[in-house]
Amino acid sequence: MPDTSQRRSALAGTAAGDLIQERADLWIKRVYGDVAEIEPPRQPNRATANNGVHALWVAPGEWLLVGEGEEIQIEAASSDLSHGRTVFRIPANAARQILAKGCPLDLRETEFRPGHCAQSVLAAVTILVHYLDDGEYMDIHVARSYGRFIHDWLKDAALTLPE
Amino acid sequence: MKKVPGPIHGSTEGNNVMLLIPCPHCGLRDQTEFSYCGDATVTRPATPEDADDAAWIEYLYMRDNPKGPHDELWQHVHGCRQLLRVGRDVTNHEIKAEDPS
Repeated sequence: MPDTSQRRSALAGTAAGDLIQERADLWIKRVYGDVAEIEPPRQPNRATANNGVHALWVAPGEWLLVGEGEEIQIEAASSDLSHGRTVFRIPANAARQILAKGCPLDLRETEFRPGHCAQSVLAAVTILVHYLDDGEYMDIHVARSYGRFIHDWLKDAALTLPE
Repeated sequence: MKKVPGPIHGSTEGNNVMLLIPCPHCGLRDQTEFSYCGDATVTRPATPEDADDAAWIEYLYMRDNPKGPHDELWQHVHGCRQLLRVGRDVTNHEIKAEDPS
């Protein structure tokens, strides 16, 4: 269980806006190989949700488990990324317009649907975009050390969004 | 007068080309997500202890520069991180086939 009480936000001291929320309460695990406890997606760039735990395909035979609250115990090789990532939650429509300014992914509604995830590049930084099942939000994962830079980038790109 | 920039690397004359590379896992993705890893046909000497200097020079440094189809390795570094074998025609950037390798 990652020690969340010890966690310091990568955005500490900045004025985070309403649109781009940091999700600081997640635990994230990269697993290598099959996980019997959950049913991970077999198709590339898909995500499944089981009891609040999301399993995201990231590479052949590798998944990312993302959840809130109590971390699940699994019988598979894994590494804890909870402290290594900064995750932003943005309303899907805004995310589509913001990412269009700097990410080559095809995020049109017909192509990138709820339950999809994709890794790509934004301002030369590797990102992972996860379109949550509810269809309302997208989560954007970046390495923690780029958290503040990407946050500034996203906020800057959001300035020109229509009200 | 403002200097007109010349053709950038990876472009054909007068027509800047951004490649779309078909990743067998992720589908058609932008070139900026990939890293070029060189000629895919180069093979390391099978018995390194027996290879002489000429064989090592051939393996390490000597590359063909064909005009036309070229077998290349690309790594999807910002995506699934897999190495792919991509056939690209260097004269018109037409991409022919790909396999996971």
